Amino acid sequence: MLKRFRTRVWEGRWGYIFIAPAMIPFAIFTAYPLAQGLLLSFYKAGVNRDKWKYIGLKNYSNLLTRDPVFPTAIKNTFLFVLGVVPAAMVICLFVAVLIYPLSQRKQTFFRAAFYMPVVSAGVVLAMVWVYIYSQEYGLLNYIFESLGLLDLLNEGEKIGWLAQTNTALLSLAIVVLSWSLGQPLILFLAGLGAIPEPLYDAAKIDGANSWQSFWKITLPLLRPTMLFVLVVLTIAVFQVFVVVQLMTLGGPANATQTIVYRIWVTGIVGSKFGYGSAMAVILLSIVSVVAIVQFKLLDRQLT
Amino acid sequence: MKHLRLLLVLAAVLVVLLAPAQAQEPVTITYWTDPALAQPISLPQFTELAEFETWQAEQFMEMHPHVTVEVRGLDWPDLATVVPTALAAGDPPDILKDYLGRTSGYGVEGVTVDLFDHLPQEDIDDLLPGLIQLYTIDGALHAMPTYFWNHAMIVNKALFDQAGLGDMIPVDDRDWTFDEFYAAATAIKEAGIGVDFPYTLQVASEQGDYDFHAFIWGAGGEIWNPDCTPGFDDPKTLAGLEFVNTLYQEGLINSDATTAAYADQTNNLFTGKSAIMGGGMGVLNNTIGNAVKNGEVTVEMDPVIVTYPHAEGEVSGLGVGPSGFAVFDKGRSDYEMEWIVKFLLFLNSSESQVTYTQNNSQFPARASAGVPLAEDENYALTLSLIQERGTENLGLACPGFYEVRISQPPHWQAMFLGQETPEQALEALASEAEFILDM
Repeated sequence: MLKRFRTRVWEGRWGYIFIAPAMIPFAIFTAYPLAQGLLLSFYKAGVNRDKWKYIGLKNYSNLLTRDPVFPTAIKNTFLFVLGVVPAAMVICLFVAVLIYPLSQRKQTFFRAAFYMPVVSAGVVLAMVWVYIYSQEYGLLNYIFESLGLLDLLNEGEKIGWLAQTNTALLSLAIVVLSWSLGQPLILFLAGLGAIPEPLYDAAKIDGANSWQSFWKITLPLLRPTMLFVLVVLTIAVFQVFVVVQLMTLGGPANATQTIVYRIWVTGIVGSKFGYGSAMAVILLSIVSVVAIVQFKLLDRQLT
Repeated sequence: MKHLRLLLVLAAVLVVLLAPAQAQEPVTITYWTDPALAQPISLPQFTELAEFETWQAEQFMEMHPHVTVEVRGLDWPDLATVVPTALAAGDPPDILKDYLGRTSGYGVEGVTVDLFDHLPQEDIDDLLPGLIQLYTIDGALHAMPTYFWNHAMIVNKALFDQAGLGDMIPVDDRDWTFDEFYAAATAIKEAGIGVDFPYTLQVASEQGDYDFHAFIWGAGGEIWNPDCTPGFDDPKTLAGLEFVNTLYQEGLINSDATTAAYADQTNNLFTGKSAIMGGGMGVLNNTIGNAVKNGEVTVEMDPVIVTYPHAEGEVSGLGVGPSGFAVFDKGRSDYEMEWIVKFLLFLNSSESQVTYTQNNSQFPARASAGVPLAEDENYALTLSLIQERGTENLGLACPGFYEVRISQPPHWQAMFLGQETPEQALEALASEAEFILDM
C-alpha cells in the first residue's frame, strides 16, 4: 500500500513540483488560517491568549439561539445576494450582447467604463455614493426634486436613502451592483467570442431571428461562463463588507447588517475572536452549500 | 615622564568610570499612540500622525543612546482593531496611549502591567485621585492617566441673538432644565433664520453616544450603574430617552441623525442649520477655532459652553473621558521594564502633560501640571462647572463597556425611526447587554 503510494508520488513528482509555487502559499495563507479559524470557533478567545478556553459548540449555540443581530445579518446577506447576483447577471449579459457586435475600439471603451469601479478605490467610490444619497445635499434627491418625484414619493420631503430602514439596504445593493458589473461583463464578452460564427449563419439560413438565435445558440453556449460568473459573484456578494463599513455601519437599526460586517464588529472590534470565527465558519458553510447547489443545477444543464 | 604617568592613570580611571555606561545593553521600546496630538495647535511644525510623538521619542533617545523607541501612530478606528489583533497575535506594543474606554478592556483581560508595582510613589501621588480610582481594575493600575476631556453643550449664541432669543441661553449659570432647553430649541426653529435642526446629533455610531447619554444623565438615569451593571431598567433612563426621542420626532434634531457622521454635525453647526451641538473645550478651541480660521463657518459664530439640560430636581454633571498610557505585559526583563517605565515617565511628566493639554484643550491628570490654559475663560469655567456639578459615570472601566457601547446605536436609531418605543429599545438593550456580559 505504502509502496504503491510512494511510487505514485514518485511518478507524479514533476507535477507536484510544478504546482508547489501555487500550493505552498495556498497552504500557508489559506488552508492554515482556515483550519485555525475552525479550531478557534470552539474557543472563548479574547485578547489574552492565556485565558483562551475550549467551550465546544457554545459559540454556535449562542449565535443561533441568543444573538439578537446575527439572524438579521444572515437575512440581509441573502437579500443582497438574491438582489444583486441575478440583476448583475442579467445586466451584464444584456450589455455584453449589445456591445459585442460593435467595433473593437467601441468595445474597449465599454469594457473600460464598466471595469472602472473594479479597479477604483472602494473608499473613494463609497464617498461618492454617500454624497449621491445624502439627504440634505445629495445628487439623487436633487434629481428627484427637479423631476417632481419627491412630491410623488415622499410628500415633497427629501428622502434619507441611507437613513431609513426601508431604503437603506436597497441603496447599498445598488452600490454593490454598480461595483459588480465589470468582471462578469468581460467574461461574457470573452464567452461570446468563443461561440462559432457559423452557428449563427446556419440559424439565419434556417430562418431564425435574433431573439431565437439568442435563446437557442448564445444562451446555451454561454452556460459554462454563466456558471463561473454565478458562483464567483455569489461568493463575492456573500462577503459584502466595504460598503456597509463605509456607508452605514450596519444601520439604521441593523437594516444593513451583513454576516461579514458582524464578523468584523464582533470578532475584531469586539475582540471576541472565537465567536467571530464561529460566524465565519457559518458563512463558509452557507457559501459552500450555495455554490454546490449552483454547480449541481447548472452542471446538470450543461451535460 | 611623571606627567605622562599621571595622564595614563587619569585615563585608566576615566575608562573604569565610563565602562558601566558604555556597557548598558540596548533596549528597544515600541510605542503606539492615538491621533489626539496629530495636529497640535501650538506646534504647527507637526502636521502628520505620530510626528510629534516621534520627535518626543528622538529627544529621549538622544538622552539615552542605548534606547531605541519605535513609534507608530494609529487613527481612532485602527485603535479598536489593530491593538486587539496585535494582542491576540502576541505582538502588542510596550506602551499604548489611548482612551480609557478601550484600555480598560485590556486591563479587565489582564494583559497590562500593574503600574502600581513600577511607578514611583511620588508620581502616583501626583495623579488626581479620581483618575487613579478609574484606572484601578481588580486592584491594579492598568494604565497611567495623562489627561481628560470634558463633555458639555456648545451653543452658537450669535444665532439666538440674531433671532432676538439671546436671553433664552443660560449664560449666567450655564444651567437649563429640559423645559427651558425645549423652549429655546423650538423658538429658534420657529424664528425663521434657517435653523432647521436646533440640536445636531449623530447616533450612527457609538462615537456620538455621549451627546445622547447626556440627556439620560440629565433625567437622573444611568447607562452604567456604579456597580458596573447596565442601567437600562432605570425609569429615569427611560425618562431621558423619551425626552431625546421627543426632540427628534418634533424635528428639533437633524433628521439624518441615524446615519450622520461627525462631519455632518459640525457642518450643520458651521452653516447655521443647527445652533447647538455637544462638545467641550476641544470642540470649542480646536474644531470650531480651526473652522473659523479656515473660513468653513458661514454664519456668525459666538460659541458658549453650557451644561446639558436636566429634569427638574436633577443636576447635570459633565461627562469626562480620560486617556492614558498602558504598558502591555510582554514578559520583559526587569532591566527592560526599567527603561520602559523611564520612557513612560518621560512621556507623562508634568511638562509633557502641560504640552498635551495646551494642544488639545484637555485637562491634565497630574496635580503638578496646574491649569495650563488658565487664561482661557472657558477652560476656567469648565473646571468650575466640573467642581460644582461633578462628573457623570460613563462606565468606562466596566467589564464589557466597549461591546455594550457598540450595541446601543441600532436601538437609538430604531427608536428615532419609530420601529421601537423607548421602552422597547431599553428592554432590547438590557437583554443584549446581559448576553454580552454573559459571553
